[in-house]
Amino acid sequence: MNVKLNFWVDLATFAGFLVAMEPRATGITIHEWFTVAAVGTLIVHFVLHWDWFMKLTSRFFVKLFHSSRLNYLLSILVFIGFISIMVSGLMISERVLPFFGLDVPARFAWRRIHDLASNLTLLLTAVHVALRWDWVVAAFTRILIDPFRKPRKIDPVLAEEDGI
Amino acid sequence: MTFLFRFIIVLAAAVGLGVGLYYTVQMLPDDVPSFDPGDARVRLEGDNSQIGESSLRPEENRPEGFEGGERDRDRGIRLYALAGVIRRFVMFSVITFIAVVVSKLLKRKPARAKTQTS
Repeated sequence: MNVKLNFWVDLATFAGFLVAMEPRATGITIHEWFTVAAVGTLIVHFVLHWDWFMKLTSRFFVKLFHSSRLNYLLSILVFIGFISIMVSGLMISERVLPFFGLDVPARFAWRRIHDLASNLTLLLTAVHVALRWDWVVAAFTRILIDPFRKPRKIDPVLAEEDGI
Repeated sequence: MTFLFRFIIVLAAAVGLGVGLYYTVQMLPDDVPSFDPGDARVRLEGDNSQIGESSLRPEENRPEGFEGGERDRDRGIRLYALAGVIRRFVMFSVITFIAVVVSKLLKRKPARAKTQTS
């Protein structure tokens, strides 16, 4: 797995998510188009972890009580959370859907789902990151700190496949 | 090629979930009509023959929520908006910190038990 690519995609997704969660900072137009574009980033993130996901799917019950299993379930929940944010966001869209000439009847439920899904997904993402904290620290050190230090051995955390 | 194939599969799963969510919500009974302060004011003032959910444009028929102030973006970047991003970042960091501490503690427990038995 390409650590550098993963790291930058993850960082971009995280930064994008934080900015997208505050529409006042960007305005509604950028908020909506930005989050539509974020679907691509999110899917790339999942595709980059395809092997991890598939291996865990096939061996889920082999070592059931392992943090990777919790992270696996969290990944699915985060994915569902993001899809809920996207769909509910589109349903209350003021720029994207009208741009395509579409108009959906407004329902208050979509607003509620959008707010709830955003907050819950932020919480789940934080736990998802926490469960991979060793990887985050190792990747951060290797990519952003090591280039300014003397060369050293590859961090074993980056080489291991989380509990597979 | 493999990447593209996987991308399409994940995209299809996302679309499937999205469509499922859409129809689930559409099947719900009619929810409470959204509240628009302007709408209420006009109702109180009298002639409300034109007021109704169908007569309102989608953007008028939405509750005044967190994005209420973002339509007047011409006034420039607001500090409180940037503070909102920072607030969420801090919130995210705190949750991550707590989760990291809890997961480290949980991982340490079996290791300790192992050393005691040996």
